[in-house]
Amino acid sequence: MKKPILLKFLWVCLFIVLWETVRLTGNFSPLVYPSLLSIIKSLFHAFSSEGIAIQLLLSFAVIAFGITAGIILAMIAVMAAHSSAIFESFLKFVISVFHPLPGIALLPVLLLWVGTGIESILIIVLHSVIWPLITNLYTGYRSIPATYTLVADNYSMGKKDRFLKITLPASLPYFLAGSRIAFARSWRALISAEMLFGAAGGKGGIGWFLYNKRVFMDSSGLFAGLLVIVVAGILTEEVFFTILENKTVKKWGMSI
Amino acid sequence: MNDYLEIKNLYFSYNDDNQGIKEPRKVIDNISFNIQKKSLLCILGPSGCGKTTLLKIIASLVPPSAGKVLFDGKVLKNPDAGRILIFQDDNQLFPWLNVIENISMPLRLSNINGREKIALDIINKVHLTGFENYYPHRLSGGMKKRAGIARALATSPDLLLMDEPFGSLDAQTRKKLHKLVLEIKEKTDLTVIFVTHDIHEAIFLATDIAVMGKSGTIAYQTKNNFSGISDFSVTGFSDFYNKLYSFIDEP
Repeated sequence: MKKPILLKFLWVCLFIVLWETVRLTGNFSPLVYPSLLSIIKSLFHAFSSEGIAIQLLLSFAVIAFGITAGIILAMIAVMAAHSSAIFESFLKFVISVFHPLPGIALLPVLLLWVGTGIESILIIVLHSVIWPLITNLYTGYRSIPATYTLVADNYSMGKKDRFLKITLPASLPYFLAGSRIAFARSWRALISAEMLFGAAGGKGGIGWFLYNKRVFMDSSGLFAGLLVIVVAGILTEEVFFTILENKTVKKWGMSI
Repeated sequence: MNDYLEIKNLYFSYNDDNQGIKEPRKVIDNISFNIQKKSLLCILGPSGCGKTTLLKIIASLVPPSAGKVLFDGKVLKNPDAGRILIFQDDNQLFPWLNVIENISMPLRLSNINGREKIALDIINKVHLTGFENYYPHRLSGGMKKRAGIARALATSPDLLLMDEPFGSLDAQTRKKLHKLVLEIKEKTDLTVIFVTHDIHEAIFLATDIAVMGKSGTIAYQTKNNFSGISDFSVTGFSDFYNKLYSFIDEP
């Protein structure tokens, strides 16, 4: 465990050295290629005076809402598909149409139909999370071993017990895999959408912060914003989901 | 002694429409037999002869096409929670529960008090003391079977239907588990139907042996006089073995 962390630290150091080496060659203007020091100064300034933490929290709140709504809808859809062949066919059709569609591609339509604001962003985030969640949950649902069903039959388990005590934990590896994909997709879609019109008024999320930095040609602030996005993404994907997996499916020896 | 389980003129067939076959496929063809309480009936038979289907019908998980199953004098229409249990070779333990949680699960479903004590007693019975908090993936194949048997015993079932339970284990571990089955049978009122391909296993364990033929019938049924033997050179053993083999290997 210690070795990979050391290696990652080494890659970060290497990246810093490379960045500064390129800057020191003097081939790029500081306006487009700021020094690491000015990026760090901008980062501190962003946290102390520009409320980047609030923008970040706002972005995460939108994602959390989207993922929670996505999970609830996906569960309902999967259970409905499991009990009705007609709905299953309909769901498969809808997935095949919408799953390949990038969230950001929906923006022009949403601008026309819903306008600019939090509603459009929420729809884009929901669109980004729901299809991978449904696909993974459905696969998880279908791959529950027949022996578990036999155990449930043996003990005459009711529908609620079957769902809570067998279906949910048995499909957890698929659910977590789906959630990882859902987060990655929604994170990208959210930043893109925020960059276009912000999430809500002046508090437009981290994407809106980036947009403003570009408009005012504050390149060190722009890179500071990018750094925040990268670190937030890594912390969520690599730390949050990894801890969640270690505490559950990996501890139980379940994998997909 | 009264018959504890009575199988009367049992038939089972199903339509294999998915394969484009119109004629119903007959799996069980007029099977009748009785077993008494505390006995251990081993059912031998070739693959695909309907042994697993028979067990599912006995457990009321599948309705028969015709005929009936009387358990303790009553016709069972629905699975009788915890009284008749099927135990298969596939790993039935839930990977997200540790050994004691897996064993307590049926007790929790039945709202039985003193679950931990009952579970610990059973864990002791199957010689898994010290492994209570282990998750199934950390147990060996034999230990998983022990834990599975422990869970099956948790609700004190009356009839345990074991469907090739030790098929995937090595010979050494199987021997240990055979002894465990006999030990449990000795200490409880459990009645067992044990399905296997292995004639030696059947002879070692059974009080009664039935051989199912390929056509889904009982080709031969007999009392077993060699139960528990480890010396296969005793008089009559080889004739008995060959007779059983001849019914399994019928053309």
